[in-house]
Amino acid sequence: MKKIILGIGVAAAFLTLGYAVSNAPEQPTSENTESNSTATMTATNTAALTAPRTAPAGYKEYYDAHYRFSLFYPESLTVQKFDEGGGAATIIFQNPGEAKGFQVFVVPYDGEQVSEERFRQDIPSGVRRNVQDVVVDGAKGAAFYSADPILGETREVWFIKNGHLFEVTTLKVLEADLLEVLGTWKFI
Amino acid sequence: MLVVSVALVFFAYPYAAHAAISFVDSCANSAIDGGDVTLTLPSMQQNDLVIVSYAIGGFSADHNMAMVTSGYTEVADIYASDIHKLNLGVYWKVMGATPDTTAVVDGTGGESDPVAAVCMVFRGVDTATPMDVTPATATGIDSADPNPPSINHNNPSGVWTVIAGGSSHQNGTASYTFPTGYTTNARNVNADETGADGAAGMGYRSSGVTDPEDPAAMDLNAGSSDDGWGATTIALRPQTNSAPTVTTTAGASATRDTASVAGNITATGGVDPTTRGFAYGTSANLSSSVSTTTDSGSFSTGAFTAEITGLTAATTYYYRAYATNSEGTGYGSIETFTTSRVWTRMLRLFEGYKIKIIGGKLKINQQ
Repeated sequence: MKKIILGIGVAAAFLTLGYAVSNAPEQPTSENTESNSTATMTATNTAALTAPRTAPAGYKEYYDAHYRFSLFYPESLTVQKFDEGGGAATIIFQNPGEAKGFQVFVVPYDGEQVSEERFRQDIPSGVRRNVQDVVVDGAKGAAFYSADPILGETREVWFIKNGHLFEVTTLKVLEADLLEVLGTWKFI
Repeated sequence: MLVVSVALVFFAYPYAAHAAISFVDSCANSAIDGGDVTLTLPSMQQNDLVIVSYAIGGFSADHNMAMVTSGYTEVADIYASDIHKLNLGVYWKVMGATPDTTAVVDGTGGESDPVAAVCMVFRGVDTATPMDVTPATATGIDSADPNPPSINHNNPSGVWTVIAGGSSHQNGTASYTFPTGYTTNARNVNADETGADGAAGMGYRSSGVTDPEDPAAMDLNAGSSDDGWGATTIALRPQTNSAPTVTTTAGASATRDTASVAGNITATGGVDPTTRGFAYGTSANLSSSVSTTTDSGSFSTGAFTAEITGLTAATTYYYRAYATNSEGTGYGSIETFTTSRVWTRMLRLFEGYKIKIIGGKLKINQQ
């Protein structure tokens, strides 16, 4: 199985996206916070969790005790979580009316790097352009542009943490919004 | 295919009803010189009941009456010895999946023996016990008018009475006038032989059947004091309907979120099912959170399939086929399949929406 190395740096490691994530805009602050727990899934990791954070004004916190991460998302987005079976889930954050949104697909994964097989499995088109190394709250991964028959050009940020592969996807034109959200990503 | 989520009750209705008997058609043919008679049977379907009656007239001895065609059960083999001697044989057979097209009676090959045969086909008769009670038989001499004997039914509700008679006479072509209540679709035939003729007739009564039922005589429009006759009275028991019999085909194929399942209606229970499908869920005995697929229509026996969608990956499901008719629901055995563990990503973002970029601006509209 051919492996694609997502985390090995080239000279330009931590390119644009990595820089953007590491230097995300300052997080807004507010007393209006909201946590969304994963009530439909059974947590298997019994380690102590970081307490929910206070979301800034105009944002809500998505707090996932099962997959052990938290992020802030614009409060105008609606969140839906789909149990895909086998420990996988898709979490949708979207507001079609405002043309904003992104999704997080998380699946159990025991590798340290994303295999070519895994990549082809989730992106059958094989389109992968401008691959860049990224680090999301300490989790190494890669960002790249891809294409989907329905969504068109997409922005993908994939990283591995705690035995799971996180595949964060949005439309290419919504890349800036995604970077802002990823800047708030915390593993808990 | 309609998919609904309901909790099914897994037992059949605790009662069974009788189907109505119906008349399908009749047939008749004759031969002389003791020839075998081939009856061309009406178009039939599985479980139809054929009753064959044939008479040998003339001056022959007491024959061992028989069907050449296999599978028939003998009701009567009777003999009346007058100058004009009469042999009467009566038989029945329930048709299988491929019904017979002919029925051949054994004419014994006796020279100068006229052979007259008739048949009637009925539907909705109990296939296991078509005769509600042992048929009654009678013979007589000095007359060509068969007089079917009285019969006591076990269950008068829905029972039909069939009378079959034969005569040996010497007066050319003749026919019967059937008794009151037995005239509808009554059938008779005459075998015209030199010396003496043979006649056979059959009729049925579908309403006004009493218990006991005592049909009057079949009046042959010819006859003399030299004639002999034989007659049989049969009570037809209606089919007891029941829930369909269904089997589940093991070894369903499954993907990550779909499965192809198969079953078979092996018996309708007397009434064609109006729904069929599959019950499935994750509880081992399908006792809770059961979903179903449902096909509606009128279904006979045979295999059927369904595609189940919306399943959870890497999950074991239990399923079984079912079919429902007016008597209840029949179920096949519980089988299992497991959806695959390939957790391929599904792009659910903006699912059901149309995405356009117009002038560099993103537009997302509902499809």
